[in-house]
Amino acid sequence: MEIQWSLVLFTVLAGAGSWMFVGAAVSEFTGRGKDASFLTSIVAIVLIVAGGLCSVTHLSHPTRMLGAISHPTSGIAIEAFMLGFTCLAIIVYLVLMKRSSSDQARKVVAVIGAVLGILFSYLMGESYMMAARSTWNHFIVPLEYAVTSMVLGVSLYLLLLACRKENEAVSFYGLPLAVAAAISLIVGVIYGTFAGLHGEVVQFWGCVVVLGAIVPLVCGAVLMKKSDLALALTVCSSAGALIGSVVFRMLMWASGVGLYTFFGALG
Amino acid sequence: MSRYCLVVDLDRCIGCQSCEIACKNENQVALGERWNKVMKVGPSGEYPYLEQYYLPVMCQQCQDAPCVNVCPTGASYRDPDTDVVLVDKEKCIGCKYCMMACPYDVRNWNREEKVVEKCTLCSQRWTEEGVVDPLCVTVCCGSARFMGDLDDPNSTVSQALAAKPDSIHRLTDVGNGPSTAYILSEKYATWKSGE
Repeated sequence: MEIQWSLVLFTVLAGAGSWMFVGAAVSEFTGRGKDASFLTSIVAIVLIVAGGLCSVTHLSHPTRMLGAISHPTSGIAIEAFMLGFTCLAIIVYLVLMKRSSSDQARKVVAVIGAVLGILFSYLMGESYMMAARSTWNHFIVPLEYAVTSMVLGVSLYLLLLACRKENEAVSFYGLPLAVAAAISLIVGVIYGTFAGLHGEVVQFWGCVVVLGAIVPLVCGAVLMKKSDLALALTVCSSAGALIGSVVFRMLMWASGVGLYTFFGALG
Repeated sequence: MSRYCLVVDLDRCIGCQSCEIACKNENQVALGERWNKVMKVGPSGEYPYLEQYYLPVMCQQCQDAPCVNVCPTGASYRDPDTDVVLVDKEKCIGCKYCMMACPYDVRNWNREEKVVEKCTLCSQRWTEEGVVDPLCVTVCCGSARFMGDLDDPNSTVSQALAAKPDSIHRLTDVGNGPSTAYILSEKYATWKSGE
């Protein structure tokens, strides 16, 4: 099946933005990198909106999208609502920050936004679970969407902290990055085994597993010890996670063969 | 509740493709696009015992239609009077999710209007008196195609199926429940299009 680049970019960008905001939410509780929360939230919302715009380019009649209100249980409608709710939570969080509201209120909104973002990254993959496409119709697909978004979002969050020279905070978050990458590695191996990849074996194991999970895992582990290498390691981790996220989605589309291909309409 | 669909007697289908042409003419389907397609299955077996049959494919009028379930705007919907799955092109946003969700790949992308289309059982021919046969049924020179209500035992589709109860086949069902049925007798060929 043809790779739908609009949707690849949508899920990569929106997923990364959602998980970046999770970083900001965590900093509310740990206190590490808290000064960067405003900037993180801005970058997160820019990524999510950019992803949303990419997804709109996939539609031939986006002006009719409001019709989704009439069928809110479909995958696309749920994605659209989740995107809106996640952005709304981030905006509220930004307003609370600007108005120096109470810590408690900020924490509550941050948690709501983070939970919405995590769910959003999962549901973006869940909408592809269709009985017509056996390689998509498995819970591991949305899980892989979520974990690749997680590693990319966390890596970008740490890159942003490293750019602000908050090396100690980056080092502190080395463990969460390593854990996220380890989870991604496990899910990736399960997905690779299940997906029945044929011609794309090298791309999957090389790009999705090695670059997308093992590289961030190693970077996270090293970050815990070497805070002075924060920028270099977060650049490596972000680049690996970005490649892994994009290649996984490309391969998902490429392997999305239907039960029958009578009309060959989707290439 | 009615359950309108096509039934095709493959024992009688000669693969002339007149149903395909009639569909294109009646529904103004553009060159390179189709709502109905006659596939050739085979030849298979070993000489001289070869077998082959023709399989006309179109919307299978699923009972739990995935295209209706995934459509974000309700453009793919069930006609409340006949329960036939139809597309309201005015509501289609062109996301193609219904095409991905269709297990049979029998939805068409209208390149000019940038919307999804499919077999409507020629619903434009229906009158106030009721449902009228689609043109593919009318023109079939082998009288191999039938259209009617499966829930009505007196309909042409029910009677066609009742005449050969051991030769009824459907495309693979992945939970969507295709209504369209094919009749293929073992004496002509072995069904190879899933079950």
